[in-house]
Amino acid sequence: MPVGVTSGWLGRFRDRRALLLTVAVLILILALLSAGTWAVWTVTDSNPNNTFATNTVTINDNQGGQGGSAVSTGTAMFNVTNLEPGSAATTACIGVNVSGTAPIASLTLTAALGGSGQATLQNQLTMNVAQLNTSGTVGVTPGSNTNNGSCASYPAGGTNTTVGTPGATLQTWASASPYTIASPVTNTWYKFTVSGLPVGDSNCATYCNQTITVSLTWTLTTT
Amino acid sequence: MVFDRASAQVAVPWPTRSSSIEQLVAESADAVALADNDRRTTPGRLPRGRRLARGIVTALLLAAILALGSALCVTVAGYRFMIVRSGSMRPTLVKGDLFVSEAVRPPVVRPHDIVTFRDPALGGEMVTHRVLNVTTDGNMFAFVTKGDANTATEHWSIPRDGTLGREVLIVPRVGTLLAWLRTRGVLLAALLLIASAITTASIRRIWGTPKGPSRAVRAGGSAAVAIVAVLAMHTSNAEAWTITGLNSSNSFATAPSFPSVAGVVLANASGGTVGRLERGDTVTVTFSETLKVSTICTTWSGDASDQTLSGNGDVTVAVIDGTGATNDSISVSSAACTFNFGSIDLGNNNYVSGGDGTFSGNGANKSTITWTAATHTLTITLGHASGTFNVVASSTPTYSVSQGITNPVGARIYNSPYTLPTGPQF
Repeated sequence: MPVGVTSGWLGRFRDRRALLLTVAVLILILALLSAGTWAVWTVTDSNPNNTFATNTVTINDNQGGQGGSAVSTGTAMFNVTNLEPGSAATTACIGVNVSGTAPIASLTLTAALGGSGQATLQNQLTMNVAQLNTSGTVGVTPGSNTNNGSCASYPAGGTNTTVGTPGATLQTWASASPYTIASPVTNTWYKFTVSGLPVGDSNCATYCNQTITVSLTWTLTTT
Repeated sequence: MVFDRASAQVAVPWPTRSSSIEQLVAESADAVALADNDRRTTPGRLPRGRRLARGIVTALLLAAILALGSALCVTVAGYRFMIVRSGSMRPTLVKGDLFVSEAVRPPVVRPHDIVTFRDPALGGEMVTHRVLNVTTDGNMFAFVTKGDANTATEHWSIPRDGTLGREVLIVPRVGTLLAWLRTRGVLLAALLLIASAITTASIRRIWGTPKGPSRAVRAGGSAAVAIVAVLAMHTSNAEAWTITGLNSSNSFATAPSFPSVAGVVLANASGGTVGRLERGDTVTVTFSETLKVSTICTTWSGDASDQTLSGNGDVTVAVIDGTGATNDSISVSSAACTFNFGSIDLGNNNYVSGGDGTFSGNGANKSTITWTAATHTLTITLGHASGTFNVVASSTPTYSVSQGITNPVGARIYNSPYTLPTGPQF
C-alpha cells in the first residue's frame, strides 16, 4: 500500500478524491498540452533554409549593366552637354531584368551624385519625373547596350509609379534614395527626365563649364 | 506505476541548495529520468535514459543561461547576441556563427569595424556588415558598409546619438545549436517533457505526501525556463546576399559659356525719316560671343572670319503686316543659304499697312547682311522697299532669336526674346 493512504471509509474517500484529482490533472495537462502544442507550432523561423550556395541570381539592364556572376557598369543613359539657361529637359529610359533561382527579398534603386560641378548644379537641375513600370518585359543581351537610353520600348500600358518626388532637385532626389521597387521586380522599366539649367542661372562665372554626374545603382537582395 | 519516492524526498529546493550549475544540471537531468527508474544499473554509471535526459537538460539549460545572459546584457550593458543567417560576411562570419556586439554611438565606429545596423533597403531589418567609410554631415553620420563576400555596398545614415552594434566576439557555430533548439521538433519534445514531468509530479503529490518540489517539478521548471529563454534568443541578424546593376556616369554638363544677345539697334539711314522703315535703314544685332556662323547662314564657314551676303537678290527682309492685336514683325531670308535669324516684333502694327512689305533688289537696291567676327555683330541693311510704310513715333520691339543659332560648342542663345529699349525705331 502506498505511503499516506489509510484504510476504511476515510481511506476510500481519499482514494476517490485522489482518483478524481488525478483524472482532473490529466485532463488539465492534456488541455494545456494541446494549447501549448498549438502555440509552439505557431512559432516559426521566418528564414529557415537559406541555400545561397546553390542558387543563382543575376541582374542585367538593356544599357549593358550587369550584376551577379558578371559585373559591368553599362553605358550611361544621359550624356547631356552644353546645358545653358533655359535649355530643355532631357528624358531617357532603361529596362532592368532580374533572373535566377534565388528568392528575391527586395530591389532598390539608389542614386549617387558626383562630378566637379556637383556642388553648383545639384540644386539647380531637377529630376522632373522619375517613374517605373513593371508591366512590360525587358529584353537584354547581358553586357551589351541595346537601348541607348531610348524610351521607345517603355511600356505604354500598366501602371506608372513615381520614384521619388517629381521636380525635386537632384540633391534631394538622390539623398532620398534608396527607393524600394515594388514587386514584381523581374522586369522593370524606368523613365528619367532631368531639367535643363534654369533661365536665371545666366552668370557664366558660376554656372558655365560645370559637370554633375548621376550614378544609378539597382541593388537586388535575396532572402 | 511505481514512483521513486526516495528520490523525490531527497530533492532540494531549486535553486537555493544547488551549489553550481553542474549540480543543478545533474539534479535536473536525474529528475527527468524518473520515469526510467532503472535500478539495475551498475553503481557509478548512470543508466542510458538518465544520461540522455541529462544531456538534453544540459543543452537546454546552457541555452537558457546564454539567452538569459544575452537578454540581461542587452538590458544592462548593451550587448546583443545574434545568430548569423547567411554568408555575405564570409570568411569572417559564416552561417551559424554567434555574433556578439556591443551598443555604441556612431562617432566611435571606424572603417573595418563590423557593425550591426538596420538596413533601410531591407525595411529596417538588421544586417551585420563591415564599415568601409564614415562621413559626417551635421548631426548625421553617413555609413558605407559591405559584406566581405558581397560586391554591393549599403549607404545609410543615423544621427549622432543613434545606436548601432559593434563586434565584440564571434563564436563559431554556436548559433547553429541555438537555431536547432528553436526548431519545431525540439520545442515540441521539450514541451512534452515538461508535461510529463508536471504530470508525474502532480500525481505523486496527489497519491503521496508532498514535501517540497520534486525532481520532476524542478526538471519541468528548468525545461520551461530553457524553452522561454531560447524562444527569446535574438536571431534577426540577416546578412542577405546582394548584387547590383549599375548605370553610372550619367552626366549633365553646362556650356563653357552662355551666348546671349547683347544688344539690338534698329537704326535710321543717314538722311532718312525717323520712325519709318526705308532703304538704308539697318538692323544690328550684337551677340555676347563668337557664334558658329554656319548656324546663322548654312553656307558660311570660319567662325573667326567676317561673313557677308551681298549678292543681287540674296537677301530679302520681309515686314509682316500685323492686324488687330498682332504687331508688325520683321523676318529675314536668303536665296544663298538657309538663314536663321528669328523675328523682330516691332511692338506696333502700323509700320506697314495694306499688306506685307519687303526690302530686296539688285545692285544699289539689294539688301545685304554682314557678320563681323571680332564684335560678334550681325548687320542687316535694307534695300529697295516694296509696300506702304508709315511713321511710328515710338515702340518697344522684341527680338526672338532663332534657336538654331549656337556658339561653336552648341549652346543656344539663352536670353531670347530680347526686349529693345522703348523709343523711336529706324
